[in-house]
Amino acid sequence: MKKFKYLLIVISIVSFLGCEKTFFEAAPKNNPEALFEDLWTTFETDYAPFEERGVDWQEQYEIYRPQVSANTSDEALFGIFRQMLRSLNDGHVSMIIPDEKVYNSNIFYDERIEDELFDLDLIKSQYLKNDFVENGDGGNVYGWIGDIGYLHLVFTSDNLLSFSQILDHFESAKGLIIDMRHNGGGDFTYAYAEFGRLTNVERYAHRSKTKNGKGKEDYTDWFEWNIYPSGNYFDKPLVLLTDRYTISAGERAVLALKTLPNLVHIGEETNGALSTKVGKELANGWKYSVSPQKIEFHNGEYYEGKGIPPDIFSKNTIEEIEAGQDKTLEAALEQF
Amino acid sequence: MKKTLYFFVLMLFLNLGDSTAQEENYNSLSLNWGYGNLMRQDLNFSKMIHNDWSPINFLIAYDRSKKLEQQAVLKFSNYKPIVGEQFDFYYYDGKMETALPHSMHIADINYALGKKILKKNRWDLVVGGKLQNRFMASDYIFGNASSFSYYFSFGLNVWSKIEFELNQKHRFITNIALPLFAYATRSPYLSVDDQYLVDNYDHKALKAVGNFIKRGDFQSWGSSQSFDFDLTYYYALSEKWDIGLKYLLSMNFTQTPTSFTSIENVFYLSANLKF
Repeated sequence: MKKFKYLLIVISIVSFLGCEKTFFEAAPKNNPEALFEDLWTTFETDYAPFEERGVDWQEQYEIYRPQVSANTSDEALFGIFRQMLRSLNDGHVSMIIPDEKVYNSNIFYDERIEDELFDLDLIKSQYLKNDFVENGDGGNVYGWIGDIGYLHLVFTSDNLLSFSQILDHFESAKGLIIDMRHNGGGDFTYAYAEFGRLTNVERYAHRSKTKNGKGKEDYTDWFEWNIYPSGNYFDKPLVLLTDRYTISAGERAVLALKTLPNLVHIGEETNGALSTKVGKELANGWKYSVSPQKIEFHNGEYYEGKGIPPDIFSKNTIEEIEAGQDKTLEAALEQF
Repeated sequence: MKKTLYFFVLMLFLNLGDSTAQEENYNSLSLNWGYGNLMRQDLNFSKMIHNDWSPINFLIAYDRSKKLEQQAVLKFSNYKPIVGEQFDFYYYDGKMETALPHSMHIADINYALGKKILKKNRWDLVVGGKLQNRFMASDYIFGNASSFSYYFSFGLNVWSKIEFELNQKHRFITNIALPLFAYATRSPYLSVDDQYLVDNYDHKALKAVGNFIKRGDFQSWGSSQSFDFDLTYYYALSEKWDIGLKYLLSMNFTQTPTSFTSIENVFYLSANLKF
């Protein structure tokens, strides 16, 4: 079989001599300097929110390019890449190399800062009294806290196809807490398609534009995203909870929810990574991702890099969590 | 150009006529399995030239030779190129994942109709038109991020088939197709924009594909090119059966919104039933 394969390769080479050079654009080379140039250039051409994040990318080049030479080891090169990408502090920018932990440019996600200030198991045991429903492939956890409905959205994806069913479950509730703390994102279009029962009028949530070429100003036109009334209007007081781990599609869902007049937003700012992300690869097989979109809230604000601010700031402490208390959730309960 | 186009369209939709008027009635069905190579560079997704050899190559062809020549072809192939080697990586909680190769599917559904314009000694020459429908769908996998890529093309090609009979046992057939025009649709720059998300808003695959197709454009040679060629050698085992070897070359190029180059070489083993 191996001989047969080689024969085929030889025939192909002979038949299409020079095929690669004739028909393809030159691919980046696999050496430390070329890898650096490729990574830096891809961000230069395809990354959108430099301005929002206050990053001068050319300055990063001037800092880090001199640190790379033909003899730079893989380990050292990965270190240089990590430092350069950290300047973006973007939860959508990551790098994956063999046998290592995924590097995330966002310091909260990368170093798991204050990760322990949200504990779903604590909520299940202390507040839901272990009486809850879990569906949507583990994406929805919901139950009663007294006469208040509580829903935790673990991610924002096809789990939201059960959203209407969950609202039916809370038909007799005094109100509903939508807890999106530690929501890991997914696909925000599920949220926009399924939030129709939360509104009785069309509501403009945000607009976005995407890189469509290598030039600095190469973007698609702005595209407006709305939520539209659909089904039985769920006309009850709502409280939304977020933290620094509410990211990506979760944040876009937050933008839609914040257009609702019957909603109070409590907690911390979201992560501030609202763009979509696209994967990329280097010539040595390392993978990374970039953010190619700009997102503007309906009020004209940009939250990329800053996070979406709550109406009422609340942050748990480790002592409270260790004592079995979620003070942010309790602040939400006080709203009803 | 317009007259040529009308000629081919007319030929494609012609009533094939009364079979009793034909001199011969010849059908064949060939089944082909092959080992192929794909080289692809899609700058919407990656600057790298992806290259893979794969045994997942199947082709079924039905040929009918009466007053007019007809050929229907179904082809499927899958390639899994990766830059570097497959490797494992980890999350903060220790969960391990593997960086998998990309997965590139190519499916063709083609129908050709032509007329034998030359029959001389051991040579036959057929010229006609070919409806070439090509579906290239890929998953570009970058560790824990992946992007769906599509490039669908529906074209009308000039088709030529040449058959050479060396003797009663050995014969060669070649097909060449060059596009007159094509209606094509392709993933946006960097794979995802708002329009792509809207097209996929219902999260129903067929509806999304329909929406992607609606976004397509007519392509001329200036913006999109393709070339398809195959050469088959048949050895007659009996009056009904041939076995053979087929070589296929399929090339696709486009420049909108970025450069896309795909070159596929496949070597098939063939079994051909004549009836």
